[in-house]
Amino acid sequence: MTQGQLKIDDETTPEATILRITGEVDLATVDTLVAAVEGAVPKQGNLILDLTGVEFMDSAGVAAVNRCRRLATAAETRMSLRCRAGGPVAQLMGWTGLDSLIEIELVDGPAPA
Amino acid sequence: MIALIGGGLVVLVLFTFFVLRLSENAVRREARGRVGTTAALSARLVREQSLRVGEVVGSYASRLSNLPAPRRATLPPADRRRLAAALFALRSEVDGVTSASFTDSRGRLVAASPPPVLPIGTDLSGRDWYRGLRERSPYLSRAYISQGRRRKVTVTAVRVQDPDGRPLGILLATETERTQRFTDAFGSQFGTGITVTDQAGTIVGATGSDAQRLISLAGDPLVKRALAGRSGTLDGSVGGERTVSGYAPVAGTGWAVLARVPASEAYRDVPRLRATVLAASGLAAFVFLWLVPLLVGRLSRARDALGVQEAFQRDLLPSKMPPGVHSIYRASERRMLLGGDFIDALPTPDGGLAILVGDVCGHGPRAAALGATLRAGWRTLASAGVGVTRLDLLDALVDGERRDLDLFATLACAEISPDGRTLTYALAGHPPPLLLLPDDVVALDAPRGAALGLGAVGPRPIGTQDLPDGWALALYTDGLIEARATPESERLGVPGLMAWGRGPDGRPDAAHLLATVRRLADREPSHLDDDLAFVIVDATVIGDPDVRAAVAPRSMGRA
Repeated sequence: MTQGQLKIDDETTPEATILRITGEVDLATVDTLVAAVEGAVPKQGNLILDLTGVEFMDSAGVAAVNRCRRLATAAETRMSLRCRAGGPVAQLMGWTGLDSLIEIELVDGPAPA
Repeated sequence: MIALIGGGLVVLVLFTFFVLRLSENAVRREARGRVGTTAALSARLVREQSLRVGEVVGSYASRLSNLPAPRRATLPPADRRRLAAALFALRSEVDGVTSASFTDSRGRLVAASPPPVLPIGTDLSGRDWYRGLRERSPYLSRAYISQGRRRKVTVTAVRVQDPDGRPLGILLATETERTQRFTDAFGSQFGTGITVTDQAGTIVGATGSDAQRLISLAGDPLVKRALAGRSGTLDGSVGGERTVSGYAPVAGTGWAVLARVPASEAYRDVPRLRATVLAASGLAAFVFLWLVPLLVGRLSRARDALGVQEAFQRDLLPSKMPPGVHSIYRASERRMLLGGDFIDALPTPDGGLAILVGDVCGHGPRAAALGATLRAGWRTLASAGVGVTRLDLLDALVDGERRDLDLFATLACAEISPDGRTLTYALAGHPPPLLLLPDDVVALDAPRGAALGLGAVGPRPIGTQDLPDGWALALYTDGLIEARATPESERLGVPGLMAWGRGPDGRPDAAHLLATVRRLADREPSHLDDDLAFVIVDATVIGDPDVRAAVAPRSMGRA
């Protein structure tokens, strides 16, 4: 699934559905992200948004993540984020305080090319 | 709008008129061309018919060429038998030839088959063919009424010469009805009236008219033209009915052909064409009448909406900035939408200064309206002296005022104490303000609180900082750190902005920072992905107004 500069790979394991997101999450691409989460939320198990491949996120992206959080809460799905320590997503989650509302797994790793 | 509709309809009517005229003319031209072609084609058929008869008669004439020149009306029996046999054979050979005759070279009747009505020896040299044969042979005669059966006939006359070229006599083939049959057949097949006239303009045959008398059309202008060797078409009327006529000469005979079609028949495509064009125009007019008010309505609604947006935009900024507070606001052209960045600055009740920069996440009127609401709400808090300490009150404002549950807002606010020595600040989900110290540029990224609208999280933690001489404080929205200095360069980021806070000599420089951000914001086109809001104050903003007035222009004035 490719939309603009955003790519979403869908992987399902027995434990969780993983949406691996790469590219830029901004006003132009957030609808794709939200739609993917809407599609993934009803599935059994946990939902992991893997944002380690995200190079850039703006406030619209933050709003989308917040919307995904509400969708997951409403569906009683446990949603967690995975993002790079020190990366743009981790920084935004910290600034906005979403890091206290969403389970975040920080991973070390190089910035995406 | 009425002028627009009126003008449009006038244009449409003119357009329809010209289309009708052009297409009608084209159809008429084509129809006239058809009639003209019919006339020319008929003339050619008449000519070929006469030529064929002439050829056959000519071949019989050559068979007779070894006759002794008939000096008398009576011939030797052997010659008479040969002549009678040839005349009989000619009559039976060519369809439409009802009688065949032979005269001597002076035009006196010698023999005929069937036996002649006129006595042998009758002088026929007064007939037009006798003179006409001087011009050409075979010669097609004028129409006349036959002596015996009183039928309208024409004669094909051929000179007969002996092998030495001496004139022997004239062979005549009398035809009736052939031309009449042709005009009838042609008329019934193509719906066209065909008239064939002889060289004097007398009707030889005409569609639907079997009159056995001589009718002259010599006065008809079209016949005159055709007899003069010209061909063409003309609109006219016959007996009150409008007609389209074509005329053409029958080459090599001196005859003429007229083709005539009722105008209603020739131009039968015109009414259909007219109906089609008028229907299309009517449809266009309907669509136009329906669309224009719709579009004009849309436009005026869009204009109203723009007005509303501008009003909101104004509400996102204070009507008046306190002296010494420098701010920059630039909406992103890329989104073509009202943004939700907001700015404010005002004196606190104790004589200090409160400043604010915020950003409603999202765009459009809802975001802008929430931004304006938050600015007004915070202004109330600040004017009561709790602008930094009671941001939790704004959570309720966001919860209560937003129409869209996904809307949330971030803001950074700060208060400068009346003596200009203490800075207190609070962050709600916002990027860190920059503090310029005499020898350092720092990002105030702690303590931090959650954004507004993520749920009731209580008061945000408050940061406190002692201010040395020569400090400056810059607040901004994420549109600034997401910007690129040039379209090709990396996004600025907080480190990039901190670097902008140092002048060419590497020392913290508020004027340099302000000028650099202003250059970015003033760039055309902006290349900004998001709206940009920026506020900066320095030590001169607090204290003696006179000192402030003297110092401010030098430190951060626009010049």
